[in-house]
Amino acid sequence: MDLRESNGRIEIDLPVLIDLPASAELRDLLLDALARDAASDVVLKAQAVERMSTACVQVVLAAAVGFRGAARRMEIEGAGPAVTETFTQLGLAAELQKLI
Amino acid sequence: MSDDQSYDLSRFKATYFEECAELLATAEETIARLQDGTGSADDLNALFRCVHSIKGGGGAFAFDDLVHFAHVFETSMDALRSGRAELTPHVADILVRGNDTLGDFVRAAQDGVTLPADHGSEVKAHLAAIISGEPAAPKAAAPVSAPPAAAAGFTTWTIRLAPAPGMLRTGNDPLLMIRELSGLGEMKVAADLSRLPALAEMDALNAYLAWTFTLVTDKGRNSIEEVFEFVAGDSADVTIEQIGKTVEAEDGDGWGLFAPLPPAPETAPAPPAAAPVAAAQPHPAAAKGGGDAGAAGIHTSSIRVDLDRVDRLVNMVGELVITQAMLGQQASGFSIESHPELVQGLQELSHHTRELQESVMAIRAQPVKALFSRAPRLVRDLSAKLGKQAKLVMSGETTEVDKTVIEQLSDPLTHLIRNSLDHGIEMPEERIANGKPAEGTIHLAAEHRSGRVIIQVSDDGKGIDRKRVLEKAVEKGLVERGAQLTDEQIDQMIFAPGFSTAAQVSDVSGRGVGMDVVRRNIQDVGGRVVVQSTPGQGSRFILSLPLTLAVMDGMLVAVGNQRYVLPLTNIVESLRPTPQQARTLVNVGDVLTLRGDYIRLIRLYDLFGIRNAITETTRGLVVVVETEGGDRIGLLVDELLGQQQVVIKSLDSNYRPVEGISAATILGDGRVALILDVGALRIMGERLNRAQGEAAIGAQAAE
Repeated sequence: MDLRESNGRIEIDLPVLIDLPASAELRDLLLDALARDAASDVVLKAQAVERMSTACVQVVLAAAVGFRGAARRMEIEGAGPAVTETFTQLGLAAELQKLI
Repeated sequence: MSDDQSYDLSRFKATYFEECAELLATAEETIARLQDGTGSADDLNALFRCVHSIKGGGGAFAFDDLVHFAHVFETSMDALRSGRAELTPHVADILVRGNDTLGDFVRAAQDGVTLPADHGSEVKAHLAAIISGEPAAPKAAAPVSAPPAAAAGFTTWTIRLAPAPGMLRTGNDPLLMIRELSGLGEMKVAADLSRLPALAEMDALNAYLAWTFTLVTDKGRNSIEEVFEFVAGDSADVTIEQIGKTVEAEDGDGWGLFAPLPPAPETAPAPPAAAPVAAAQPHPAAAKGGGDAGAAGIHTSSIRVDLDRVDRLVNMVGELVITQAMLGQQASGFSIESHPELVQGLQELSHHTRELQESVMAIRAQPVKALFSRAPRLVRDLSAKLGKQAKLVMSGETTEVDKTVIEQLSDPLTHLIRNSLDHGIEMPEERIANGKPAEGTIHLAAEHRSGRVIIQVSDDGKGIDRKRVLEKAVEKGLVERGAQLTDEQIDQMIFAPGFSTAAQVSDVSGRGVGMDVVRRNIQDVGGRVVVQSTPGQGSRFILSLPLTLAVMDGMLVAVGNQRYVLPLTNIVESLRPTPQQARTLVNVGDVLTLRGDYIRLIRLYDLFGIRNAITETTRGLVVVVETEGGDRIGLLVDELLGQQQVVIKSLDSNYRPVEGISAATILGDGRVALILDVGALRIMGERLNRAQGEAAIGAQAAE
């Protein structure tokens, strides 16, 4: 998982499987993004995601709150069925809607 | 990826695979009952739970193929237990194959190999046919009675799941539980984000979310509890509450999917059919008067403990027994009058030590059922393969024995059963010609006898062909041509190394495990195997095993300056023989006449070359002992020093195997004493007598 700055925004490519260790890595990357350029939006590129864990969803939700608090925007780009279903099944479809 | 070392899935995986092995064995046993028509509705439920548990764990580790197959299997089980499908012998056969295939997936997951994509697809299709009610094969004429279906009715449940912070680290993802729960009926999910911290304060491995589910289902509380069985209690707070009363479904509505939904409770509106799982805002706890609260969650009455920990405990208890013996010996000079508290205290210590030892041994004890459970299958499959008819009768499956003994017995027992079927039981036509029923019987029995476990494998086949065995033994150079052997000696030849021959090896019995390996495996755990055979009537293999491998009751005997321990369970009596009782017979050697019987006398000093021992039979003591085969022999010793609990220390692993000695122990004074192997002493004694007899003849000839 890499953090990349492009066109004034910070992009993170999410891997195919975001399990527990990957969630910890994502948290660190998002903290890094939060600490970087105060103007950049953050984009989680989710095209490749095939499986997402609850741990990852928690990290995304906490980060979203963090960016909102810093008057910045975080969004999920290319959310496929795996991402949508995960949020929906966890009762968080409304939260996902705010991010896409 | 993160290199967080605390997140170690392998430990949980190992536990999961251990559980899978147990669950698959239980499932096999249960299916066997369903197959022979003795099964009940409880068995169907038990089988469902086995498959369900394997699936649940598999989901946590993302073993997708396994989970997918288990799901089909589980669904077919659900159809059977709810009475939507009928349990016919054909269906029972599919379940056997289903369990085998599930085992394949578990092993593949364990070994990290990928099975072909179509693995088990045929079985899966058969299982699916059970669900759809379209039998893939014609039903048998006499169907096994299926348990009655539970009354179909809808109930609304409120389930709250609040994971403990560490739950995710145990490999349990709430997502999997939610998916499973939603499969039980119509469900509404409300997530509680109130515990979610700021990103900087967050530990990504901890669980922060909580959920409230409103589920409308025709399944019972048990089905809901099963979803959370891996986490309820330690890993999560699970509360299950029934809202209102069960609404009965209308007749003839099959699954109940199309029945009108129950009146929506105020606090838990029924979700729209188009959105089975939909997001909702968190709502407060509801249903004050709605049935019994399941706040206590699911409790387990057992815990899984690493074997090493138990072994450490066993070792420490062993040391405690030695220390207690030492204290007892030190204080033996004190009388109860002069030191009442000390003597009484030591007696209590002895009593408590024994209780502690027995309790610890009980932890390692397991019923032999685990060992026997594979036998029905083995007999069924093998008899079909060999074209023979055989039934298996089992008894004493609840007899308990040390886990190590059970593990070591698996292969020998399998081989003995194979052997009975292959060489013992005759072909049906041969049996009928001999006036026997076409179907042979193999009896597998276990029982406790004199502090040991006796496992017997007997058959009503043709018995050992002694003439052929003797020919083979001569051919192999195991005995000299013309040697006179007793029937018993010929029977024992089958255990001789190298006796198994190419002519005997078939794809059934000949799997590279000869009877000598069977005997060695049994001897490795301190056991013995003997065979009794009656031509035309059958054979009986008797396995005698110690209950435990750690501590035993022994009689300390003195021979010269040496101390030996005789297992108390072997001792019948002891006596000082009169000159009339002690005799020497030509070609036999020393014997003892006891109440009309002749008992072979073995002089331990002679056998072990001990000096300063009592050599006159009438001055020493004779301990009459019984071997597992039921033979009695007399052992000449100087004196009996007393009964004592001794800790068994393996001689094989600490020194090397010594003939006639089964193990060693440490006495209270720190000296090492050897534990005598009565069965081996008998053989050594016979050999010694023979050698002495031959030497005497040689000497006479020389004169």
